[in-house]
Amino acid sequence: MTPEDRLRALNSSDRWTVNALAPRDNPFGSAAPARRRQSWKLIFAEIAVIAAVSAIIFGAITLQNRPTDNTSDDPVPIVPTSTPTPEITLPPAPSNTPEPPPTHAPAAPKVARIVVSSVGVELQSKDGDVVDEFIYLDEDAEKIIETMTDLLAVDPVVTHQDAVTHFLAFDHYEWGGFIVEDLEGGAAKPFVPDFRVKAWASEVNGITIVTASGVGIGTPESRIRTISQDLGLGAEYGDNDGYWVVETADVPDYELDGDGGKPAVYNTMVAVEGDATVVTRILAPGRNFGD
Amino acid sequence: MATWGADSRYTELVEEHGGTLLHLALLLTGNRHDAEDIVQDALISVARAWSTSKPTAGLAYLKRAVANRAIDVGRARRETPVSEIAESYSDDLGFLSYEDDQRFFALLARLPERQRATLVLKFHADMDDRSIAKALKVSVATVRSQAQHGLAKLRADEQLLEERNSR
Repeated sequence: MTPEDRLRALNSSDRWTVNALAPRDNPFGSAAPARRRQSWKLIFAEIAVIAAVSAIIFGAITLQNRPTDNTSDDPVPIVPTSTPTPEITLPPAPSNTPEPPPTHAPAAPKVARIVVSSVGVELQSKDGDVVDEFIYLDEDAEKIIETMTDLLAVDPVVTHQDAVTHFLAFDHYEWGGFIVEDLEGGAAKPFVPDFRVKAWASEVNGITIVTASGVGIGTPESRIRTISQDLGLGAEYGDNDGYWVVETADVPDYELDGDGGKPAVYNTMVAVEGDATVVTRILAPGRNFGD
Repeated sequence: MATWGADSRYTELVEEHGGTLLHLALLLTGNRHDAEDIVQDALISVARAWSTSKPTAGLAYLKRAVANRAIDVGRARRETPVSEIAESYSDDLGFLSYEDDQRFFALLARLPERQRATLVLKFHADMDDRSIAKALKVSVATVRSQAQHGLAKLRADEQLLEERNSR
């Protein structure tokens, strides 16, 4: 049995000696632990006191700031008319409960890097936080094209590539060194992803382009050779027309029929072209679906 | 004596999802004490949040709440000096009925925390990669690479164990 199947099998309750929370742990029930019940009472009491004090302070401030309008003969003091009842005032939920989306989204952190991986493209802040991401197999190209157009503050140059032999037609969007190709994978996925990316500039609009393994345009070929060998790829990919694989990822939920159930692989490739001794191009995802 | 509406809602939730969530929390935390606290807190917060009498939150929502809390507990443990940790991951496997499952669980416990959480959420809790990424506060790419590495390590460890046992 595979580890995946073992974890799935643990969904069967007869494999567990515990099947529910013990009744004594019900914090609302009659047999609740005295300590927890006591803590609830304390919380409610604190909330009631805070609410009452807040109401009094609010009333006092309102009175103090009230404009001296002589047209009013007899100003009526504002006082709290009721005391909040603990029974209907519940404490706020703990912060790590999934919350509904906020009405006003916080300002997005500034994007410092476009990180190309074998799974997708991440936009990262300078601290490495993921600001946005686009997965080759999960969504069509529209989202990344819109986002990149906003981010790079320039409309892409769009060209169309007609179908040639067994290559499908696609649209090519380029923002001065960063390219998205809309492949419309559709039914052909995962053989054809929804989109792929290429880069030939080290940065666009001040945003660095780099692979997940830290390779950028200008990285020395010697460094690429080491990365490729560390992946155990060696000459199998290494000297293939100047293209090197610098990162791989299994294609999820897809196994090769004729290769012992091995997963198909997407990879991140870089090219060292012509007489260059450094990386001149990045491309992802490359594909390895066996023979 | 007045009773809270949350009382019946909590009971309903325990009856409907308590077992499933407890198993998930046990796989994530490795000890029953933390697991019960985590599930209880998640159910209380959900029960309290409803103003109507009928629970409507789905199991997926509750799983995410449990995952969030389990990960917070893991983080807190990492920040606590080792000498102050009363219970570590998986010092009692009595919550699993079969020895085979217990052996597998011991292998799972050897994984780095994030790999373990990723595999449990993906294959036991049946959460998709995006939901896991959100719960673990990482990217989808990280979720996939963690799953890939975690599975590879589990397979290798299982093989090693089998080889040892066959000697």
